[in-house]
Amino acid sequence: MMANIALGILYSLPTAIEGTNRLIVDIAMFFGLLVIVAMALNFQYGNAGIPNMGCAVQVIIGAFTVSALTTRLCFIILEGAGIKLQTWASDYDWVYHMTFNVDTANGFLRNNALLGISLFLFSIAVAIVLGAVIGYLISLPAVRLRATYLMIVLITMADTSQIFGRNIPAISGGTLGMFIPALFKWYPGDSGVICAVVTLLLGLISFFIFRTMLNSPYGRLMRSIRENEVTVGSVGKNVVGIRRNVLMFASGITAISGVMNAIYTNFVIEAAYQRAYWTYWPWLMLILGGPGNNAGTFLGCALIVALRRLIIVYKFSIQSLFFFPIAYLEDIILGGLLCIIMIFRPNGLIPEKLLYIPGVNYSKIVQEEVKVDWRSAPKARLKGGGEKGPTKKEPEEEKK
Amino acid sequence: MYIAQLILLTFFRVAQEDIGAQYDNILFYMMIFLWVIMPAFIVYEEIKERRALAESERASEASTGEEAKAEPSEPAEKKGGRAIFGRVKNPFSKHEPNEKKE
Repeated sequence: MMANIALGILYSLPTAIEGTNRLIVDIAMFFGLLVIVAMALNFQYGNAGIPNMGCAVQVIIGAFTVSALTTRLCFIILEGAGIKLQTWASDYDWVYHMTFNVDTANGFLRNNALLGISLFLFSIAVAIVLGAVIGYLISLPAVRLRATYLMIVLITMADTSQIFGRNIPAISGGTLGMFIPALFKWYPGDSGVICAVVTLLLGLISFFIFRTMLNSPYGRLMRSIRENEVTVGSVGKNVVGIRRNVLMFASGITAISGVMNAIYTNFVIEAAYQRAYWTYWPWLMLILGGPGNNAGTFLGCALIVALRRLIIVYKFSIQSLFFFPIAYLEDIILGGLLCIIMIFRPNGLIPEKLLYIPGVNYSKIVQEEVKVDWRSAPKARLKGGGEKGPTKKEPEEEKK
Repeated sequence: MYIAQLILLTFFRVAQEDIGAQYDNILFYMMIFLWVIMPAFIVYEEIKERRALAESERASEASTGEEAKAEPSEPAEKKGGRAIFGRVKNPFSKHEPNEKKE
């Protein structure tokens, strides 16, 4: 009977991804994308104290990997398989023959799931490596700078990457953008759903990686650099090297969200990777939730993404409620929320707690039979000096 | 048993005509599950850590309180413990490190 009831519930479940279900998939997808960026930012700023204002450059590297490398590899494989494509060698052909070529590639990928999955894994792997390389390159001038200058350098680097994409059509079709092959075309249903599931899975894996790193001795070292880098340097740690490693690692992870965004939209254009979206919104999520802990990052991300998607979807319905154009509502919320949080809750909704190392029994450490009697120390010193006779300094004093 | 039957029947449904929609159905709920499980796990872990920290803080407060109750003039050696300055060579002490007092 229970099975029948459950079956009845299953049959009554929605089967079409449209309307509200489409909105849910959309929110889940962008939650997955932005939670990866926000967690990487929390890793850099919340734990290592590196104020990375260049998240956009790392995301754009992921998107450019798909548009410039995966698409070319796909075309080479298709031509190797004997499928006739239009020429795509020159910049002009690359942009204007893209629609036909991508359409042909999609037809091939529909029946070749293995190729689609292989290209997807290739994109992720290359994006991580290229993201790490970019992290290394941006760290060269950046890690020796103090917070303010570091932020400015990273902002300019994010803009520089956009300028590259805008002016070199071979990367992402220049100002027109370009379509990319649908790597999940083999999936019989709505490719947005599988994209959302994969993105959430990647977010979950990233979370476990960051959690493991933060609970390791390296994570504690990162926190100590955040608190006082001079002290850490004075005990022989390579502060510059550690900051570089952190930037490289977080850049590699952030590039994954660029890949997933490109695959979800099947289109890459540099204008879609503005720093306002891929840098300032993750910063707001981090500051809203509370830097230094993953729970705060998740809470901030969930709140902001839901808010933004609801505004985008229902903006025409709520336009009559506002005296200004609804297009500015997002920006007003960004600025307003930031001001409110900084005034009333500067530590975020979930403030950072003391460091907790799993597996270590704190109460056992504290209750250990180690008696530290600091109050008796001066007395013992005086007593010891008196009994032993004059100390080394005393004869000198007597002479004086 | 019921769950196994349910899973089997769910997969049989996949083999029906509208295969894309059936896959969508399964993945949609898998997505919701992932979406729920991720924050739930993080919140659970956060609560666990905060509880452990609070417990350790309480334990530390209790041990500090015990020390405060003890006579302040009494040296640590007399209480059965060992003063931390006695472990290393103290230039002001007549004892050697770890030397037992007769």
